[in-house]
Amino acid sequence: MFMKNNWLQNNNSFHIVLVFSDSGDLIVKEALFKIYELGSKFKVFDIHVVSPVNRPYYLKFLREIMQNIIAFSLRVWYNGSSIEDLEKLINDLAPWKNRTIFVVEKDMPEYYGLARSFNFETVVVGD
Amino acid sequence: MAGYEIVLTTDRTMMSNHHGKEFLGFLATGPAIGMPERLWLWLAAPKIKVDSEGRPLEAPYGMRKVEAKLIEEGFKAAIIDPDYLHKYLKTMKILMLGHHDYFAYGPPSSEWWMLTGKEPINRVSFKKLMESPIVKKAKEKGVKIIVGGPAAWQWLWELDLWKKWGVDTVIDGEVERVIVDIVEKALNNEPLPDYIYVGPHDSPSIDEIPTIKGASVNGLVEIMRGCPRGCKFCSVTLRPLRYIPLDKILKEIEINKKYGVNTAILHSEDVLLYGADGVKPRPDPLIKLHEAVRRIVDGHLAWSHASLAAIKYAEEKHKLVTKIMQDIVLTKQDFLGVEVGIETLSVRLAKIIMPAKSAPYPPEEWPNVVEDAFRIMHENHIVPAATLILGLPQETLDDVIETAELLDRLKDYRSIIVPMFFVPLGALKNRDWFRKNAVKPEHIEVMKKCLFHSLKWAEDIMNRFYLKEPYLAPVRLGIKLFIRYIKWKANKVIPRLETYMRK
Repeated sequence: MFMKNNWLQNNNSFHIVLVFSDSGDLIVKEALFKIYELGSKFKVFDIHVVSPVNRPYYLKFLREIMQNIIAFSLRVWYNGSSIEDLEKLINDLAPWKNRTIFVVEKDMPEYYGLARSFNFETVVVGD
Repeated sequence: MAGYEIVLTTDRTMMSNHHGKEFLGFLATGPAIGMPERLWLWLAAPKIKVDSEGRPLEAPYGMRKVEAKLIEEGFKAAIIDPDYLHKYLKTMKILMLGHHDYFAYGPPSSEWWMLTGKEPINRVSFKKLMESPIVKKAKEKGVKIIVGGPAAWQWLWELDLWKKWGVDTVIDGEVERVIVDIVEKALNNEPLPDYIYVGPHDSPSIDEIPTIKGASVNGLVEIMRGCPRGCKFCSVTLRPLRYIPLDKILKEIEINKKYGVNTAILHSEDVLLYGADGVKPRPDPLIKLHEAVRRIVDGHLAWSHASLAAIKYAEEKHKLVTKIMQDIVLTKQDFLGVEVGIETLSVRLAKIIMPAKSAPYPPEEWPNVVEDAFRIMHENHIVPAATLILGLPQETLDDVIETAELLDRLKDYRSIIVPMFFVPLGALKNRDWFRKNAVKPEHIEVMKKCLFHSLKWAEDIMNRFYLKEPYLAPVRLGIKLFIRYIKWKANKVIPRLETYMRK
């Protein structure tokens, strides 16, 4: 029906995928660092979360991002928790591989192994 | 009756014209004090007139902008009074909510809450709306709930309620450039982000800001967006500065008049900076603006906010405040209300937190800027409601003492001074909130001075200017009784509080 604009699919954004189990504190600090680092090149960031901490509760870990990032647009998406969910997300992000980074908890080798097998830049936090 | 797919609403504390007196709306930021809750709510936020479809004749301006954008893009959207949502249960696919202070975390609600230990009415009223059978039914039938407005950030601290009420997306920031896409996706059942923060880069241009389609509460119309001062505690200053063209402002006033609202509140973070040269007010755009508005508005004209530095500069450089007030505004009314920010009277703290607030004067001049501006306003029948912020990051007790001492210099100027506790916004969003156990006797001293100053002048303002219309006699009586009760209560409680704090 209506197809007036497409802000949510803005192709100029940078994608940050956060994968964590029960606590996202360290992951979020790494994400913040990345956003600051990339802030001169990108004005919009898509943050995708893969975690067993369900919606909307995973957002308590992301408050630090929302409180610190005020100069850029943020879009926060929840993408499920299973390895299949991550694989689907990897496929969706394939066209933007050079503008995507995975930040994964070190206790989730299956997850960061999968991201690396598709040649996505992957940071393992806690190493 | 139109079958609206997109319904915009909010709770009663927002969906009201506050008896045509914007300032009374502030009562909704506190719990009922000295009277039953229903009476308090009626004083603060009486029901608004609606048309046959349940559309309020006046509605919050921000919601009017979203409604206008959606209508212009061809959606069946309307603002509906919260008492009439049932009319659209069958057609509604998206329920959009807006609020200044959903959960009473903002100033001054959080302060009232902390001091009284009781939930403020705005929070109670919003929760009641969300727990109402009609909102529950809407959610059960799959209606998407999208929330936004200046208090959107508060949802990040209410995740249990977010989950319980089934909120789909929270949007924080100026939405004109993004809302159409979000609504399209919601209607097409496509995935939505849980949280969106619209950064300054995505702020709309003047051309992207729509003209409202229905009347705003008490005729509020924006004359500019953004602010050039760069105070760290304020989020508005991050946005680009945009002046709304005069013809667009007048067009919105005509819309308000068409719906019977013959008053105007010029909205800006700093009305005197309309068309300014940086932070220096210029006579030409301000006189043209006020003359044009005064020509078509017979009712009360008010400013939403003005900076004290701009008031002083405008008067001392151009005699501009006198010209605007005596030659234009006061030709049809006897006073003008405005919110102003003192925030602190400590030069040291002002230099850290708001170095540009005194500009074009140096921060060392801040206490003089405040006093001079108060004098200028007093002489020109401008009645300010001023804010002070307690608990700012890096505040020391010496700063609080300096503020308390300098408050005496303002005692002869007609004003209401409201002390507020620091709430992290803007570039200070990552700082901690001011907590109850951080309140020191010096803070109590500032609060006491503000209270007695405000009570003294509130009576004067009531006697000279406010609520004089015969139909507002019951409201006037309610407010007078409230002032008397607060005086009595303060005289009882403050000595006890001071003794307790000394221990």
